[in-house]
Amino acid sequence: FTQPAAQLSFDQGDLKNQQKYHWRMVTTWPKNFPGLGMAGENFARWINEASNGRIEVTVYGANELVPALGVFDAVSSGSVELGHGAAYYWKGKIPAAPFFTSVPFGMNAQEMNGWLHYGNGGALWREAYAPFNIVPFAGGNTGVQMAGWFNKEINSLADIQGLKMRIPGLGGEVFTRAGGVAVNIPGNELYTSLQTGVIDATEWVGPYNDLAFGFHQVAKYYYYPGWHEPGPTLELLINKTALESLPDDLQKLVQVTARAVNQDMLDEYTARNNRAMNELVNKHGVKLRRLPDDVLQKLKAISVQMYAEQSANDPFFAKVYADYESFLNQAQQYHKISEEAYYQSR
Amino acid sequence: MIEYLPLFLFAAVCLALMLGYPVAFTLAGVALIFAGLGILLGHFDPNLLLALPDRLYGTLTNVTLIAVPLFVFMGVMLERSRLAEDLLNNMARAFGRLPGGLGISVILVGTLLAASTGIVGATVVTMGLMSLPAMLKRGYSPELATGTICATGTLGQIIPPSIALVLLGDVLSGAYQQSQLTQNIYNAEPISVGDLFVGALIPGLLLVLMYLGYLIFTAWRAPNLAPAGDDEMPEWGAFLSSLIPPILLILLVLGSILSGAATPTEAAGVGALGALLLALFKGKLSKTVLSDVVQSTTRITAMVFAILIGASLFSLVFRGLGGETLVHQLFEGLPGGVFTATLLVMLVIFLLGFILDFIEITFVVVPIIAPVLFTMGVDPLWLGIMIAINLQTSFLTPPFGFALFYLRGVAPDSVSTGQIYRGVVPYIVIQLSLLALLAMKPEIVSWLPDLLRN
Amino acid sequence: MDFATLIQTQRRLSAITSSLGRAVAWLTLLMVLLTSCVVLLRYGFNIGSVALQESVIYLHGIVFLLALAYTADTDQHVRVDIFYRRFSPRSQAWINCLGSLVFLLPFAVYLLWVTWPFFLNAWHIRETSAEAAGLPFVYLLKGLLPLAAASLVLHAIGQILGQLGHLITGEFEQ
Ligand code: NA
Ligand code: NA
Repeated sequence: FTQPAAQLSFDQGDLKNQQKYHWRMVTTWPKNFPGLGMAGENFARWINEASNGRIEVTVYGANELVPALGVFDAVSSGSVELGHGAAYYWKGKIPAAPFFTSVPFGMNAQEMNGWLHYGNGGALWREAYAPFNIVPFAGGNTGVQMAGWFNKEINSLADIQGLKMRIPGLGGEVFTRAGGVAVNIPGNELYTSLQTGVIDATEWVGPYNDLAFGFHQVAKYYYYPGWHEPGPTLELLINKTALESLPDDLQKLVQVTARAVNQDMLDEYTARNNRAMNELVNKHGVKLRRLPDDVLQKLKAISVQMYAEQSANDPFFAKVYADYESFLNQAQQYHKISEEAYYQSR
Repeated sequence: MIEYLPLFLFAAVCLALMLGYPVAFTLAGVALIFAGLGILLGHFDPNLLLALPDRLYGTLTNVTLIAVPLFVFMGVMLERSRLAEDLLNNMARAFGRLPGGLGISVILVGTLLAASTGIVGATVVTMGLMSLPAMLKRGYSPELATGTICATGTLGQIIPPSIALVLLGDVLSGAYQQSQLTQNIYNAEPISVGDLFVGALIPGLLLVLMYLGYLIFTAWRAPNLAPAGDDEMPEWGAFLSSLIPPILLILLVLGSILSGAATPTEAAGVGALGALLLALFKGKLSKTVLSDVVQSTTRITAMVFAILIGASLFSLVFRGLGGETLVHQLFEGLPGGVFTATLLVMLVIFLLGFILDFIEITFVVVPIIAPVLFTMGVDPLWLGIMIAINLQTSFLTPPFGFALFYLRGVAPDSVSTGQIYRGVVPYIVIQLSLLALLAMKPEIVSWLPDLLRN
Repeated sequence: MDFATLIQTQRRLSAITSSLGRAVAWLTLLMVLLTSCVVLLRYGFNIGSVALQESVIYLHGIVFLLALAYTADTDQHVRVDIFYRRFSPRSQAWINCLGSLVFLLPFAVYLLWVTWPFFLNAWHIRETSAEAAGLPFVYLLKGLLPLAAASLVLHAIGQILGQLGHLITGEFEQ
């Protein structure tokens, strides 16, 4: 059949609607990295399908176009349009950045999503990234992580004195102040370092990722809970200029797809972590241990003290922390009688 | 036509390299010219050129690579203080007056270095500085001497601890899991870096034996290529005083890794300090020697990293021109049959090894092709070892054989590049034979891991 | 312009980059000592220092980046010299002159152009380590990149002028 003549004439707006966008995404994870690495792949596939091919995204793993920690700069400079990573990697640029991923004894996944999407978290995050010409979106969450893999048993605070652990970021700072030795070990030397005893312990993600890495072959004890990363939010970074070059419908689509990707990762970890944990314990004989209360209490006290100190040094850190803390306090009160009470009742 | 631009880039670089202008700058310069060409033809996004600082900063802060200057320092110090030459000569004497005795000691010392460093560049440079002059002085054919050093230097790839196995294990575990997930197999038995280390041990030692076999055979058939040492066995006192300290040093490096005192990178620093102290105790450390060592270390390190910088821009432009899509197409529509598919993959990796380095192949090619083979039921551990040995050849195959570049950088002018190229050919054949052997007898790989697991 | 001046200019530029390279070379000794220190403190005394670990990274960067041009001045960068070694000094001078003009100079200028804003962005926010206990001088580390690029620009210009001088005067160095 023939095209109606009216469809052949279009204005500038229609032209923009016909345009195809070929975007690149760089990620802080290796290609095909289970869980964390799938968010980028899913975003690329879903937005392509939902936009009927108008947006095409090529995903590059860490070190393909830029190294893992070059993701932020690459999106900022405009050498790529998209990035997938985690805000706490950019602490050297923005001291408050860890709040947008996860901080010791901070919010869990549910609370992070509430703060970012219905609290002030999202606005603060965009404010933090604005000078870098980047718009951030929540892009996944792993849920509460594990405290890590240990080759020494932790029965009291005394046992972490001099304990050598690979634990980066704020968690590492807290661990050091508690008497531990936070060691910086590159990812590809981690396995051997744990095996030979260069380090006594390391944190990683959770059962699903840890099983794939094979930590159970070189460490005896698997400790919980992940006090240092209670619900890390991953991020989708978009170059602001690129985002604003999209027509309105595609900008909305980016936003909605990010939201779907964000929820999807938590769903996947919820389904996979318990299966992996079951295998670690029953098939590989991993010894599961809970960190003692006195250790957790000490680490928490140090964390609170550290936030106060850093607030004094950086006004933006203070602003974000104040908002974060007040949201957490409120959420926590209600979660005590909802989530927590229910968990204990079933 | 324009989609073949990446291939033209390769061809152009190969041709340009033949001019003899420094490799690092030729790589970068030709890549930049092609980026410009791609921009003019609308086939290259100029924004990509902004990514180079991020890539270089990544190289700059890569802790693993810090082992390069530290191991080079150790090698240069051993060489300048004449400790290594004494060790090699005494090792050769310790093997009696076997034809090829010096070559044998080179392979053994190289194996020990491989067991401690795992960085091909550093090992080749160290061995090149340590043993090449000694071998040439002994009257070895330059081909045999350089081939043995280059091949021995690449042992660090396969003999654990190996950075190549770490990177490969990282990529393979993800790819394996992914392929199992697409088949709805959750939590499949994972493949880890540790598995690869254990699995690589026997094939690695087998390779050493094959190298030794080749050398002994050559020395037996043509003694003039690898002349026997005619020196008398030295006094025990002199012998021990030259033999024990360097071996202690190697044990210090190995020991600090195995005891958990240090990571491989840090152990390089400990080894360098050990070499410094040895030279001091032997009274060989003067300000001139020290100055010489730091200047040499710096120039060799800059030479290695200049190539990394050039290769970094080269691979960025290659990707930007759609080179990866081209590689993708190569692997699409693999013919049926596990054997044919594996053979084809091995062949392609070998051929790519001529022009790409192992990191490029590990990060670009392996994630694309490994899942295809895993879905067909190929054992991930076996495939990992096969790929690792295959990638080892990429260091030896011209024009982009990094072991060749590194040795060229430290070899005396009297040795021609052609001699180096000819020298590695038998060793490449040996590595390919080992691949064939592992293909026929996969249990060589799986035996030790199975034993340890049960 | 006097042709001998070309060669003189090259020598002066080379003197700058070479003295820089020779100076940073001593830092390799410091790298060895600090790395051993990190091991000793952690293994022997259970003391960890992220700042000390990072200082080795800084030294490493200073050494290999600021010695690039010095290494080129001493002709230590690897060449595929199957043919090159057989060429006459005149042909070699042509290759070095044109190679520097066509390959190195554009690359070095591009490198300077692209790393300068990279450094400036880090400088404006005084970028620190992402590690709480790390060194707060990431902006200086990033500043090494344009510095290295500048030294390569100097080397390339020196080579072009110097080799041109040799080609015109017909006097070649051995
Ligand atoms: Na090794
Ligand atoms: Na090669």
